[in-house]
Amino acid sequence: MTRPSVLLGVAPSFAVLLIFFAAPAAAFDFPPITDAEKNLGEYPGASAVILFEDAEFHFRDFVTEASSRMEVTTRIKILTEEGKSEGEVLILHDRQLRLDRVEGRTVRPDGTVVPLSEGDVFLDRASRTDKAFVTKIVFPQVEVGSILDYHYVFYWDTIFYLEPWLFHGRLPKIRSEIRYHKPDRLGVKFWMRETTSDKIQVDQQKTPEGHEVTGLMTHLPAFPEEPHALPLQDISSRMLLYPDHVNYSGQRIHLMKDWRSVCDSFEDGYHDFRKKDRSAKKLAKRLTAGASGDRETAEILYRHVRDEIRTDEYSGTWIGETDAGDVLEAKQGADSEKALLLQVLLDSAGLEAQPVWTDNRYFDGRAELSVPNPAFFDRTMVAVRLDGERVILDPSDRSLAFGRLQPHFGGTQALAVDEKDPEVIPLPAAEAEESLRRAEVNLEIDADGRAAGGGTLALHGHSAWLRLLADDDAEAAWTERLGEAHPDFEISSVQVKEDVEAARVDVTYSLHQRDAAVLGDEVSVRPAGQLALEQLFPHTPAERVTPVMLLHPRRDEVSWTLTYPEGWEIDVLPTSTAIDGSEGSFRADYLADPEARTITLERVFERTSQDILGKDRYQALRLLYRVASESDARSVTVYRP
Amino acid sequence: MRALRAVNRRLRTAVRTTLRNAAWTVLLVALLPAADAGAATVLRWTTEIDVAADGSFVERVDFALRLDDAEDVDRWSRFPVALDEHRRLEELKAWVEEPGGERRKVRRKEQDLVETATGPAIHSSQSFHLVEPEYLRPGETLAIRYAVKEKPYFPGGLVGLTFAGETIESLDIRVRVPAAFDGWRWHVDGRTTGLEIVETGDGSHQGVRVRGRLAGGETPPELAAGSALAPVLRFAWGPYETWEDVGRWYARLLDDVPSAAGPVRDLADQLLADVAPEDPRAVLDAFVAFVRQRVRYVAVEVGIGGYRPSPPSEVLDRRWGDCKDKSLLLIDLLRLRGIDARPALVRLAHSRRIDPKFPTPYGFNHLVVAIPADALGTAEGLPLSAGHVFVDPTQSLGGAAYLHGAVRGQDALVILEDERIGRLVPTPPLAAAYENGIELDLGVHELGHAIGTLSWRLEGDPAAALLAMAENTTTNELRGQLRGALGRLIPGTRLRDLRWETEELPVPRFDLRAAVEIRSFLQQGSRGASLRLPELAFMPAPGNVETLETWTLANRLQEVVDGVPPTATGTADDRAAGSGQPVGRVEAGRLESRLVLSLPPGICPPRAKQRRVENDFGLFALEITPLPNAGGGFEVHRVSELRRSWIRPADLDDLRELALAEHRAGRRRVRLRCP
Repeated sequence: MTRPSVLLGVAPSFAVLLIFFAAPAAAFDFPPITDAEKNLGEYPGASAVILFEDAEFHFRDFVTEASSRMEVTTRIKILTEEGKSEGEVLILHDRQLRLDRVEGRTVRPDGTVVPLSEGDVFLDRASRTDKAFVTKIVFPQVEVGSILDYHYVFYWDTIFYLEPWLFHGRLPKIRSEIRYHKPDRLGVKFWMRETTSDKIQVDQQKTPEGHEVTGLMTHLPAFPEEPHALPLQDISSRMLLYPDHVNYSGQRIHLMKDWRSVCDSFEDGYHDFRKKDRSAKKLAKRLTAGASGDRETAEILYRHVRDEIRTDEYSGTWIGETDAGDVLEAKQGADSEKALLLQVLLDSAGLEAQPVWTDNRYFDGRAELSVPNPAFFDRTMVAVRLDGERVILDPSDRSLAFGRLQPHFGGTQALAVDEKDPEVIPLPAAEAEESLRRAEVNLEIDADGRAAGGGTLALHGHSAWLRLLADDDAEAAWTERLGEAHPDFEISSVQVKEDVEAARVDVTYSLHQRDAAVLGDEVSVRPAGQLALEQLFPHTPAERVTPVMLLHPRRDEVSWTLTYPEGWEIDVLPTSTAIDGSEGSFRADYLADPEARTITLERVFERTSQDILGKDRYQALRLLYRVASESDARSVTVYRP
Repeated sequence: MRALRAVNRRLRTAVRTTLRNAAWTVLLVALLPAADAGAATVLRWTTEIDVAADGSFVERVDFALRLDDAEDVDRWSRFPVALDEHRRLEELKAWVEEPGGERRKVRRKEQDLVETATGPAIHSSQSFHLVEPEYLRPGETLAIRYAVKEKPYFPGGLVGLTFAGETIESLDIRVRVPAAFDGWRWHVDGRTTGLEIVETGDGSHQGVRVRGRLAGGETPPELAAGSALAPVLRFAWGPYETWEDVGRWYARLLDDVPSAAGPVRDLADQLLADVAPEDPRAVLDAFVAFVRQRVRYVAVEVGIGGYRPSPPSEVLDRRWGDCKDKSLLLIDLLRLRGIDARPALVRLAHSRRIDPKFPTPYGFNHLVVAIPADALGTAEGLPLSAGHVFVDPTQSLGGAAYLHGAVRGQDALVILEDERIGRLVPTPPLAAAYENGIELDLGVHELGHAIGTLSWRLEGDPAAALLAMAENTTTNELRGQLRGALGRLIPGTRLRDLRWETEELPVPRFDLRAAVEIRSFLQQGSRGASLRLPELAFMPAPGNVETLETWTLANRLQEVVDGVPPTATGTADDRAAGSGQPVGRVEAGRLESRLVLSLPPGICPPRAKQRRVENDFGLFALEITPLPNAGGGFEVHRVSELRRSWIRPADLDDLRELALAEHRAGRRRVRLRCP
């Protein structure tokens, strides 16, 4: 287990972090091993199988308990030599998510039980300041056929930041179960999503303390890590019980009833942050003194927060015990703190702004906004009204132009935070044309048979952002990249112009054939050059298990010209190719002009989708890449007879 | 061959080192930003290492780093000081110098401590004190002054003379040891351009000083390795002046490890229940199989435990351990059956090797087992070098006959415990020991598409990598990976019906077969039909060899800079050849390919052709032979072979000749012209 199933982060705990290692007084009683578990020798395609993964989730009762608790018990069977790597388990915890106890044992194939000893469990401090730790379990005597049992308990204090239970995982599971225990005074709501044809079996029972709600799935396939895959959260079946309200001293206190109540809960902290702005008003006034309008005012303030305040962490919706003045003074802050600071500055300049919670779909899947759960959001941004339109600003990334978003947020849903009227707003998905990459190359062959010339490459939108993000020497990096794309050519005179505000990168360069590649009477060149595609999807639709997710739609254009000397002739001219399908299109048009002694290629590749769900669409995507990569692999050859 | 190199790289990352290699003495290594990334400037970097009479030393570091832009601020806002059980932080002051001259102190709350194992260990005693100043802005200078007290396990240390690739305006490293200490020695390896290196000393101390300016931002050439990567100052004192002495030091560490306890004896009996005791090869195979497959690799390094193995009985009880633990268990088992077996310290690395001229344990990071060949009766088929068969119990695949590439071509310090000395010997070379071959049998039809079969036989490291992948992933996943790798090897190829065979063999082998289609393989041009042979590039690109040559000259890599007494140096040949350290590395090995092509009616085969370049470094041969009985077919037989891994300056001409021959052979189209 590398990621706890519950994350939280609001209230700092006063409890002391303790890890009881296999506390003898209350040693956990692992369920007996069944004959079926003992006899299981193989599972299709698996090196290990999770026999069961059970969680007991106890909501705090708000009167006698300060903390909620989750107990997780896992049983794994090792099936192959490779599966032995499952014998190391990492558990992350910190001062908010407190690991209380870890116990475990290896049950050898002959039934011998080897409990974890002190020398098998290690505690590493991930940060003294944050009181963050990693507990590492190394199971002893693991061999093929061994069964590994472990059990751990978490405590935490906040009622927010609950993550759903994921039934599926990277290993197949025979059984996965979560049982929520809730006290009577707590009103809860229930949410689940099934991603396969198998159903979550839900059971509810009354108990002396309140209610139990159980979710159970059996015989779950593994979702392997595949290239360009959706996050596990998107493809796993999930379930969540979350607190709607609590009855306390005769009053009903709303918790995660709806987005309004959640925003209301956060508003105190956000208000405090904004209230102590100290120098913010003066700063906004000073910075925008010469601004000619609202848009320019907003741009100036955005750039100031983006560039002058370092983003030191991404904390999602949560803010620490800090305020706008602190962040201004420290010149660094979390994404949420920078966003709230920008809101303060915009407000000070008379512009209407509000925080927006956004969802990075690459991080932990798409947010499910039918559940008012702030844990679904990953970053706080700001919405500002300009000329009646809402513009979303992300000041956490120095590579982002005003009003642009990272591709991870395209097509997702966000929440405009407002304690009275929160609003779900769709963030626009990018179009292929916005992320254009255009390459132009002109080559000429001299009398000695050496090809040389110049090239340009222009990147726009997300294609440019990916490059702007890189923390390196741009000219050296491009020299290397272009050299890899043109292995027969020496690359020189590389000039790079990077413009964050225009979301554009322009590269110009010269290239000439290396001595080793000059044959004197024959030249072969692959025109697609640096935009040549490889088959990114070698798996057949039958082999591919999970859907495809791509960073953003994209359009690539290549315009290529080769001029050859008098007396030379064209030997091989690749055939022109075209395909137009549901996932995009590709067209490569070769044209020869013997009179002008030129060959040209006009090539356009366009990939229009971001998520490719379903076998048919995957097949269309695969075909698009196959046609394009096969065309790009071809060479033009000219020669001197 | 790129695909082969890719699987080799996978294997290298899969083989894990577990002997601590003085990470704590290489300043600021583990958590620094990647090299060559930025434009920050180290205005000053001073390190003074003063060795006390008791052999401990205090390392005082004073540096100032100017942050030139916002990216520098991001990169350097977290500065680590490496600590460990025997390496304690005595004091630390950090501040930020503003452009106007004002100073801001870095407060306690802007510092952190993380305990995290670097490298393959799951847990270690290593920790990092982090300086994480707030308020940093471009134009400001981060200054840190700290002192660390270290009680070295071995009398010596090293300083990596690099600062994540940043330009160092003023470098000043001083090491001083008491004059009364015997055996003082030092050595600077690698790029010395811009450095002044002098021996220092007076009545009270002896030492060395390295100062100067180091240009940053230069990316080493792709083939660079060993001394070409970054300069290193190594120093040592005391009685362990020779490799024999270093072996004595390690033998003393092993004295504290109890061996041959009851459970190990019981295990030996149990494992040999069905093995003829008089057959040492069978005994070796049985023990190697157990230690490789039944004791899983997990590394825990606490203090001296980074060097000293755990008792074999403990390892046996928990059934996990690191390279030292697994090696010592195997040694115990073999000795119990009367087979002499010895621990051998080795450097497990692709592009680095130890400096054979400077005896110290700090260059090693791995432990394997060396068995005198005569103890096994016959060493036929086993990885043999300098009279020893080398066995690495950490690798998981193959039998004793297979030694993976990451420990081949290195120097190993074999510990002769009875004599209490070490002997530095070469490990078996990474040469064309295993078979790697591709066969393509294609028929071209009228449209120019080639259809046929492909068979790919891999042995050794690439096969082991694929076998590990086969174990670790689903069949579908592996099928996709193979399609991708072959698609890169032969662009434009469509593969179907991929089948492979895996079986338990002494040397890992992977046999792949597939139906293959190459669209537009044969093209009709104005000069008639022609085709371009699959590149199957195995040699480095000629341009990369040229770049390495330029780099070698520009960085004075052949100069000898050391203060090592003659008795401790390498051979006279080493001195004559320069520092004795190679400047680059290639994947030694051999790729043989055979393409049989039948042509459609009306298309004639090409003329017979032969090209062969052979020198000390390797071989490239290409032979095109028309097939008389096919009417319209021909065969292309190609061999690319690199016989050595390490490139010394004197090898560069030979390597360039081979690379050029292979490169050109793949560039010209094969003309299919009827007479």
